Amino acid sequence: MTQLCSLRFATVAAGVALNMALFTASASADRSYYIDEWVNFPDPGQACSQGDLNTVTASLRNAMVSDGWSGVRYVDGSAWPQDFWDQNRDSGGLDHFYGDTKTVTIYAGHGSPGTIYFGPHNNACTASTMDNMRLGAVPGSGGAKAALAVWLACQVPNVDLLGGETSINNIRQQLAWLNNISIGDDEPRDVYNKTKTQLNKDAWLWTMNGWGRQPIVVSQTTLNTADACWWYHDHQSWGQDVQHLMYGYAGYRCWEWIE
Amino acid sequence: MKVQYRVLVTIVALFALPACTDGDSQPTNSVDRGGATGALSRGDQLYALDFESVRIERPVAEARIRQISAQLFADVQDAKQKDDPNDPEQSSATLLPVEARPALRVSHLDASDDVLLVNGIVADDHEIGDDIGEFEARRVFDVAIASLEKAQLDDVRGIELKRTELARLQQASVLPDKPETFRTDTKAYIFTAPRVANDIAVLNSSITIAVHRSGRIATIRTRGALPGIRPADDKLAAARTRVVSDEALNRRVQSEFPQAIAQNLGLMYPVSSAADDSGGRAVEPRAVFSLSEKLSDGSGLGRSRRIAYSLTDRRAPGVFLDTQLKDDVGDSKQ
Repeated sequence: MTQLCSLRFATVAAGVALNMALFTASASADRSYYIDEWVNFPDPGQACSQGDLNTVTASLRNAMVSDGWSGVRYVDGSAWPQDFWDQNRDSGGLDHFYGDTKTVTIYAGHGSPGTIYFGPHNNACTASTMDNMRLGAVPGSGGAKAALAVWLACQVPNVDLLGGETSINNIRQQLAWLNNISIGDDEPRDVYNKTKTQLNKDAWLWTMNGWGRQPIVVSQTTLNTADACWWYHDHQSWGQDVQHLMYGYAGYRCWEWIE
Repeated sequence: MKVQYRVLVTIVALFALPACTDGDSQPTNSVDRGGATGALSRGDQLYALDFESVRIERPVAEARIRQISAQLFADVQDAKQKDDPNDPEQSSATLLPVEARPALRVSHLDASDDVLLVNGIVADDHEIGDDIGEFEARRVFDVAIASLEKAQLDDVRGIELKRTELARLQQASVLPDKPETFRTDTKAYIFTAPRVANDIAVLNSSITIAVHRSGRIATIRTRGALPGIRPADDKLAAARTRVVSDEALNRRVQSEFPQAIAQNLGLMYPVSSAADDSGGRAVEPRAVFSLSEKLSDGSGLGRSRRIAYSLTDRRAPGVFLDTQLKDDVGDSKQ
């Protein structure tokens, strides 16, 4: 359980709350989440085989629900690659029913640059920013609800320093890693709990480092100034219901990472 | 709300009991504790951490946080941070920044005893500025640790500065398809020192300080079990003798996980700061391996898991540090 300590920190909390109240007018207060998690992948020789993993979103979901969040969490066979496909990029896309219908969207499993991995469903194993994903409120996107994406997998944002696939997902902010990683069972929950008093970028970077991991926080704005991008970077706070949905195509993109 | 903590880990310098070998290992009088790698050899003494022998009350989190704030963030602990509360995409006019945000942001998680203090004045700074460089940043880190030691803060007890690791916090921005707009900077130097007992790292127990390129401290994170004080001699736990070599462990891991690419992460005490994990038992160090498999499409390695093996019982099953919930089915999909 997260808690603030002492009068000083109660003051800090009050200040944070006051500050957040100042800019929540344009931010989403929608406490909704979508989670897909794969841990028990098909064995070698079967379709979509991968190594098995530990469970990392169960305690996260419990923490969010206890704080009044609502949403769904699909595990293994109930989590489909099409959940993150956009129907306007692939006719089989279902993100307007699933992955792009909540403020916070989360995938846990295996990943590689631009790709997340599932067990088989309708002859598919992956969702890909190159081929079929388009999360967020860009023109032509189904669902168009996700403001924050949390990729509990390796390398997903595929941050090409000079452009690249992140332009396909018009997510205001993405939390992820640049390299191959392991994830502690409760680390995602800890990040969420920290964002009750911290910004997303600090909670993520200072929880998800160590063990050689390179955490990254990617933010975007539709405007053509870096300052605007950094503003959003510094004003996203999951646990305080401050998630700014991005309407339109990405202008400046900015990010911080540990290496 | 005050929370009482028990110290869950004690540094136990132990007397060696008769070797617990199974015939093919030789106890040694010369204990090589492995230095920075923690890689003891077969026959070396393993020092158990005895939860039962010594427990002390740990200072409540608020007292520790107050101490850290006073030592490292005296200039910002009561300060406000300039901020423009206007959403840029919703604002037609730019208003002047107002001092509205507390400069120091604090969080503490009970379950993992994870304390994070962020100095927003530098953590939210994205301007170009002078860079003090790695050497000077290390000096700032050393001074910070010394000040915490001088204040007798529990969080620096057991810190092994010789094993301090350096990383960098980088920032970048770019307008898509406009390479000329790309800018990247080193924002902060990150120093992480593990807590150790008997020269062996305590799992997930460390202190991390990020020094902003300006020389100011940007963040401090302290987490995990704290090594306690040395117990009285009659309270010492038993030492065991290592009987399983690194070579044997490597063979075992490859045999048990033939698909995996295994990486030996060294020896660690697999203890956490969770209160229900104390159990009044002695805990031996374990050899920890990272296991990852190639993705089936050949695009790289998948996410890894970590497994810990006994060094004194070669038949004991490996224990995953990360667990898969077998009965977890999630929500049903219509």
